[in-house]
Order: sequence, then structure tokens, then C-alpha cells
Amino acid sequence: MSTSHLSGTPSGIERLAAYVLDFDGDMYGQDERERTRWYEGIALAAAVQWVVVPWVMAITVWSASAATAHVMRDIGIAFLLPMLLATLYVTRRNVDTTVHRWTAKRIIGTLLTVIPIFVFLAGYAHVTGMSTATRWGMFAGALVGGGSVIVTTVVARRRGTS
Amino acid sequence: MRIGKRAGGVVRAERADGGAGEAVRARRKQAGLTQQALAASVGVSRQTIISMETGDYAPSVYLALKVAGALGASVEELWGDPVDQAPAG
Repeated sequence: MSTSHLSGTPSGIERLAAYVLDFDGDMYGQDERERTRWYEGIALAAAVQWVVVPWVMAITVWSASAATAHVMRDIGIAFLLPMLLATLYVTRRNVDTTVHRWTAKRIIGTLLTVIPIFVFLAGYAHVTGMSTATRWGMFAGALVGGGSVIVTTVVARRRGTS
Repeated sequence: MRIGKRAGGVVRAERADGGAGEAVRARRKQAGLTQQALAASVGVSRQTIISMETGDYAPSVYLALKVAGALGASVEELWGDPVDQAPAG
């Protein structure tokens, strides 16, 4: 593993990336072009997964048992959390992640990824027999959690650009 | 050289005459090298040389310098626009 391409002390996420992405090895092809194509392919697969998996969960949870719904919830968390690594990593590597323009593609993409999460939560609450108060608490938690992520990201970006 | 945008918004160098990579092929043949031999000398796969010659892949500046060195040419000769290199008159 090499992190020699990095300036300064590599962070944990950069060390993880250097190991997983095998920067100095041949796991992703023999040269820079093949590596780029592999990374493009992986990014494509992740982008498709990012939409398909939440939608499958959102649809199937309604016919699942409570026990299965709990398992789906855990798998969903294990699936979604690592996806945050993408933004964390590119931010660390000085990529400007500020959204300059909300294009139709960006809006549709956001809706396609956010809506199924809330549909899944509704289905999860339904099949696990949550009380109304608990349901509202869960949705409020989701909103507050999502809002916190957005606020934290905006603050971090402003600090990074000031 | 013209900097153009292709599908996906990726910025790549493009030859105004559409002949990106043609110069690489011509100089390689002139040097009497096969695609495999050039690939071996610069440490890339043969497919990558093919992609450069067809204009599908614009190499990094480091690889471009290696290829230029192996062919006894400059990067501008291989990937520059002939219009830019024409002597001013």
C-alpha cells in the first residue's frame, strides 16, 4: 500500500482508499487507462446500486415479516453508511462538492434515492407494528439526522473555502 | 490544441482535424515499433496503446512524456494540434 501521492499526513480514509483501491498494484488493471476504466465501472455499479437497492427494500418490506424487516433495516444501514465514504473521500482529496446548479438530472437522482428510504421506513413501521408515537419519533429522527448531515456538510464546506 | 467536452462532461484534448492519436500511430510505425513493443517500453498494455492511437484515451502528462520519449518525439508533436504548430507567417 502506498500513500506517497498524498500531501501531508494521510488520514484514515486515505489509508483505507490506498489499500482498497490498490494504487500501486495490478488489481485494477496494468496501467492508468485500465485503472481509470475499472474505477468508472465501479462508480457506475455503485450509482445503480444506490438507486436499485433502496427501492427493492422499499417495495419488499411491505410483504416482509417483522423479523425480516429488522434484518432489512440492518442491511440497509450497512449498505447506506459506506456510501457516505464517497463524499468524505473526495472532500478530503480537495474535490469541490458544492452543488452549483440543481439540474433536472440532479433533482431526479436525489428524489430517486431519498424517496425509497422514507417509503422503507413507512413499511418498516407498518410491519413491525410500531405505535403512532414511535413512528413519528422515527421520522423526526430521520429528518433531524438528515438535516444534521446537510448542516454539517455545509459548515465543513464553508470552513474549507474560507 | 482545442480543449473539448465529450459525453459525461469529461474535458479532453481534441485535435481540430479529428485526428487525435493518428500522430502516435504514424510515429510508432516510423520508429519500426509494434504496438506490443511500444507498450512494453512504456509499461502499459497493448490495449492502452490502441486506445491512444484511436483517440479514445488521452494519457496523463507522465505517460505522454514516456510515449513521446520512446518514439523520439515531443508531446506536442504527438497530441498537439497541427494548426498550433504551424510556423507563424
